[in-house]
Amino acid sequence: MSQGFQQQEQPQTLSRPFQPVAETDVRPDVDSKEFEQPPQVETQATSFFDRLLARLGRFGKTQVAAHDYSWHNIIWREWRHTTDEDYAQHLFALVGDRPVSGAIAALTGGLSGLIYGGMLGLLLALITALGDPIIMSLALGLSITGAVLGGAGGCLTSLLRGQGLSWRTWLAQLTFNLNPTELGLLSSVTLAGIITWFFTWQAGFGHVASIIIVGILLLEGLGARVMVWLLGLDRGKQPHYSHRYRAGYFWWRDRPYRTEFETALRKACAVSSGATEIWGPVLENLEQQRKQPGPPEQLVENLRHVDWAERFTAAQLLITLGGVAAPPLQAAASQRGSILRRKAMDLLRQIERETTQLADQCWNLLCPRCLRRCGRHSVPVAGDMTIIYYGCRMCGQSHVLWPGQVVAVLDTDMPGNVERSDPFRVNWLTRRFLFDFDEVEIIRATDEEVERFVVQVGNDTDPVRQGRYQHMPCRIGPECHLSENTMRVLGRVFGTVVQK
Amino acid sequence: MLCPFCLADERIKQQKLPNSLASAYICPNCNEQAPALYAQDNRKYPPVVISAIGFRQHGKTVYFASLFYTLKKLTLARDWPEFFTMSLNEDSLDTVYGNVRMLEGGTLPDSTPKNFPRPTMIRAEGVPMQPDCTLLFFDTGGECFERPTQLVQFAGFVRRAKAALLLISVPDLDDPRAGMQQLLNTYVVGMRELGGRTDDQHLIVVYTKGDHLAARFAGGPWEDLRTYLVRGSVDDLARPDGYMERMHHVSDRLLAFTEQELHAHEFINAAEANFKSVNFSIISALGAAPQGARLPVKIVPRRILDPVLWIMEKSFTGPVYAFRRWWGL
Repeated sequence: MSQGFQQQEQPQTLSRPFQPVAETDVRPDVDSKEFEQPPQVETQATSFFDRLLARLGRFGKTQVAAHDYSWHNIIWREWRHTTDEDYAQHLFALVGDRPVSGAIAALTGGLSGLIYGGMLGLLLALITALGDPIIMSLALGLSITGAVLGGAGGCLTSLLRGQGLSWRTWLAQLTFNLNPTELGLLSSVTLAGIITWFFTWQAGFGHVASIIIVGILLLEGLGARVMVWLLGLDRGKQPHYSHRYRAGYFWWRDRPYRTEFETALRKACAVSSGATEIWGPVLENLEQQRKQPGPPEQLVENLRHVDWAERFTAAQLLITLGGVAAPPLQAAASQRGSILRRKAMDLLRQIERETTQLADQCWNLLCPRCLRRCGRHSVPVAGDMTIIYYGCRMCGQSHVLWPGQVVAVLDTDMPGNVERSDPFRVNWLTRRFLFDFDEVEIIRATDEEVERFVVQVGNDTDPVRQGRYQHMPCRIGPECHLSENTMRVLGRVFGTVVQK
Repeated sequence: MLCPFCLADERIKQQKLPNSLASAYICPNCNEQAPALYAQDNRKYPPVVISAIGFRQHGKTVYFASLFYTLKKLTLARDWPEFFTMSLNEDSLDTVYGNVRMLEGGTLPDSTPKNFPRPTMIRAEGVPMQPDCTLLFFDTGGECFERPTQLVQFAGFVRRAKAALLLISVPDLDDPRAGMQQLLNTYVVGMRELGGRTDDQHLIVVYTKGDHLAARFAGGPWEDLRTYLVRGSVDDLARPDGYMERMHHVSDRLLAFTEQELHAHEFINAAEANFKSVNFSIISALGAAPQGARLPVKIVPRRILDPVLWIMEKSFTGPVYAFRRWWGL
């Protein structure tokens, strides 16, 4: 059934449909208890080994669950890559109260035990050798023994503590929830202690000084929390600072694609009312605005909006627009000293990454507005850097693209100018300008109309299309009686001309 | 490359168009955009300038209209196995099909205004015994050929033609001898002022409104000319062998007619003195006289392609073209 372009159903887009959520007030913080928890494994085990096996069993099940809820991973990846602090906090709220997986808990516990056990062994060796020259083999033996025991103990303890540890807590413990200055200060003290110990050891100040310094280091290592508490820096579980170091985590994982990230957010909303309260209205607003995104220049301006949700929406819309947004983003990225520079560069890279997915199927994707295929664009930004993106060869957009072959039809009786079938049929007679097509079908047209079409094709200097016409089939319908002259003109321009 | 608009021999460069995927061939002299079909295939289809020269109401515009009608509506492509014509741009299409529609609708085209015309560009391929080429038709108001200054101002295109097409309607001249001489004189002077050399040009004298002249030919020594004209539908072109020889013969006969009947010796002498060669042709663009601007019957053009064949013959000279014609390439 042929249909006019204006009356077409919604074109196939690269994004998935949005599930609307109930509109609620946006709260600044999310109650972590409202978040969905993984299924708990009931166990009747009582002995240590039974409990251990049960824990190990749960560890295995937790891994399966992690695959089932992979939206967490996607949100973690987005959290790790974003440069917007407010936005990062809201993402963290979605996943921060998820339990730390057994593997990570065991690994970090084991590493901590390894370091602390080794230091304890060294301390014991120093105390044992008090007043006598230190025996290196004893010190080494005790240190290794301490490290092995500490590592094993750390592993076991972490496994047994299991899912009790949330990411929020774990990250807070890992960084002591210190701000960068405080963390730097603590690290400097530790480093200074190690250096001091090394030099006093070399200077022969004796074991007492060494014991004191190693003891302090051990105290600092084992009881960092105590030190933090003593210094009044402990902030509990509130992750004021813990996510600030996110750029250092799982750096090997790429940022998620826009579509998969939005799908993950919708999944989060589907399973958690807390997530729905915050993200539901944001996603709904995003979907509304996606229908009429507004000028990209305004969206670029919105990147400095005071409200994180507006910034998020603007960024997502800019990525959605793809190449259309490239010029204003390019302008923002080229302004040295602009607060938007980093963000604009970030978005350009995201557009590059998002649209590179289209590279392999470029000639099969059609922009419904320009009726041009998808193509490669390059945008020079600051310095020698160039961003490559894929989108409509004409307007650059990559939001709405139709896959499929296109037939240029010349038919005076064809209703509308585009028929969304497979392949797409676009009536040149109603458009009168060229578009990207793969075949020609002349159903009902006069010699003059055909010649006008052929003249446009012949004068087409589009470098992509120019070489294709000579290999293109042209079919002429049985009702179309063209003159011999016109048939020869067609034969001169197109690869094969067949009268049905 | 010859710019089809200003006819300057310039290097037409391909330039990227702003906000477009396409590029354009821009003449650096006149800044006009040449069609890609013209610019890209310039060597394969070299340009042939066809400039209609003649007084007002002597049938220049009607001749071109009838020629376009013949090319598009008659059955040349059926008879010539490789032949086809195609316009090279939208303007040319408008001109060609606009004229065809007018003649089909029984009306004549309006008089051409006095201005420097834009060319009607038509690619001709597969014309028997002639190389493929791009025909650039220029037509301007007949007033431009009344004074050399007007010719210089509005008909500068004549300078680039290898063959000048002089269209003369003998029945419309009170004194054919004087009228023909005046036209030739104006042309030669105008060409000099344009910096052109008629010595490098061939002259094709075309007697238009041949249906009027046919009555004059009837029953006398010029009966063969009447017969040639009357039998001059495109069907006669179906067998191109020997056609050029017949055209040469008719040219000689028309030369004799010009001398003996029109007594235009001065015209002939001046033409032979100023041009490389002089040939004559006769056409009837409509086949019958119109009633005002209306055509009472469907047009039947006679010998309408002869002037074009003459121009192609004269434009492509030299041993290579002679060999190709002889070999049938």
